Amino acid sequence: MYEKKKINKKYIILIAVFVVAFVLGITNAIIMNKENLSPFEKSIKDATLAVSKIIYKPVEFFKNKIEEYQDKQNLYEKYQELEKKVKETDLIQSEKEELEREVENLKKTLELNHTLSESSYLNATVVNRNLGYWYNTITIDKGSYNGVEKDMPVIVSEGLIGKVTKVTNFNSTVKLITSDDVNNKTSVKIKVGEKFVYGLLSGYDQQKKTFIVEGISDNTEIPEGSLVTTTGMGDSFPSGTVVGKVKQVTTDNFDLAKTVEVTSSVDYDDLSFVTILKRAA
Amino acid sequence: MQLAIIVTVISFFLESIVSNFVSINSDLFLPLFTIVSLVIIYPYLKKERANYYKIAAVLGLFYDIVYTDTLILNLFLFVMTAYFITKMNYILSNNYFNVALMTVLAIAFYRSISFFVLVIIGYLPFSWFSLFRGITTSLLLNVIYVVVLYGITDFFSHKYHITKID
Repeated sequence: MYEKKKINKKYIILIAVFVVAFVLGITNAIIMNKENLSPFEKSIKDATLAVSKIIYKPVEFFKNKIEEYQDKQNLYEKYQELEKKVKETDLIQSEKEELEREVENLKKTLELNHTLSESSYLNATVVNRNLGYWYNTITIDKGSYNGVEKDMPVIVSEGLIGKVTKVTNFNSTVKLITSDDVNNKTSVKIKVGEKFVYGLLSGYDQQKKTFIVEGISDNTEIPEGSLVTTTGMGDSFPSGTVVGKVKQVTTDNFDLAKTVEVTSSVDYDDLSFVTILKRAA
Repeated sequence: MQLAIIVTVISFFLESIVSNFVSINSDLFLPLFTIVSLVIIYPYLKKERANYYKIAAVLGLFYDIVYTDTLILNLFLFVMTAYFITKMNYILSNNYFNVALMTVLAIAFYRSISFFVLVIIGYLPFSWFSLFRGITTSLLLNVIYVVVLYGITDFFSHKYHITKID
């Protein structure tokens, strides 16, 4: 009897070890290899999120009404602000046309694959935000049916927020650049005067709410407030997408490695509508 | 069994809806209603423990597919958390205070295990601060939810004479 109990315990430990190893292996394969979702997963996800959207509709209606009421409170100030912007539009339009011509010429010279001006925009609504906590993702209501593809950049009017990692027929998962994921690194450039300093966006400091840029390419003095944008190197983000502005520059004890803290003007706490940058064919 | 399914399904969808009203980096109000519903339904399935684990597994699988895209990680974590809740119920009886306490412990257990799995596979860097923040940010809202849900389910169980073992 005692012998039997002992054997059973051994089997349980063996099975437990096997299950843990299996879960670790599969999770690693799924998360790190970034494979596409299977048709089974896609259909379950789409169906469940469709139900979720139906349930959310009446709640959203009341939420919008409250926001509408709050907006109406400072309508006059907003009108004045917009009037100022309208006056500047003509000037910006002519500048834009000139810049587009310049970009076209530079692209031919540098043989660039794609730039920000080549992308078309697709607006999407956020369905849910950061469920699962560690993954730093949001789900949006546009999928492959709307032409969304994996690795497309996602922005809001204030700047870059992340990229599409999983796509179903009618929904997509967007991984935010605030993610702690050690593989989530983006190449960025900092505009200092007329030249650019290159670095790697390597993480997000949750306490200070700033991005960390490391691997700065040279010793140029970087002033506070310098604009940080993506470089376009790699396949994910087109060149020139705004990430934020330099808040602080620190160097190590030997004055060799620079670390730049970057603040983003994106309000990550209130992402309701986003824009996907679709690459032109 | 029916009450348990209704509670888990409502909690599952409510978690998604509530996430749209709280900030992503909220310090206090991150919803984790699906896991919390496992604490509430246990007394109703005490005699059908196999069904309790089956519900936990199905919930975990749906959580994986719909919310986190991790396929079996949450299935495993939800079943482990359900086992942890079962063990806690041997020690603690069911009342408002104990249900809130079990929720806090279940959240700490779930967050810690998921954090360590993600650190082991090299997805997240190890940091005590991250782990601590992951736990504390989810406590307040979920404790409020569990207390309200406990009151509602208790009311319906009395009204419709649903068997509940405290």
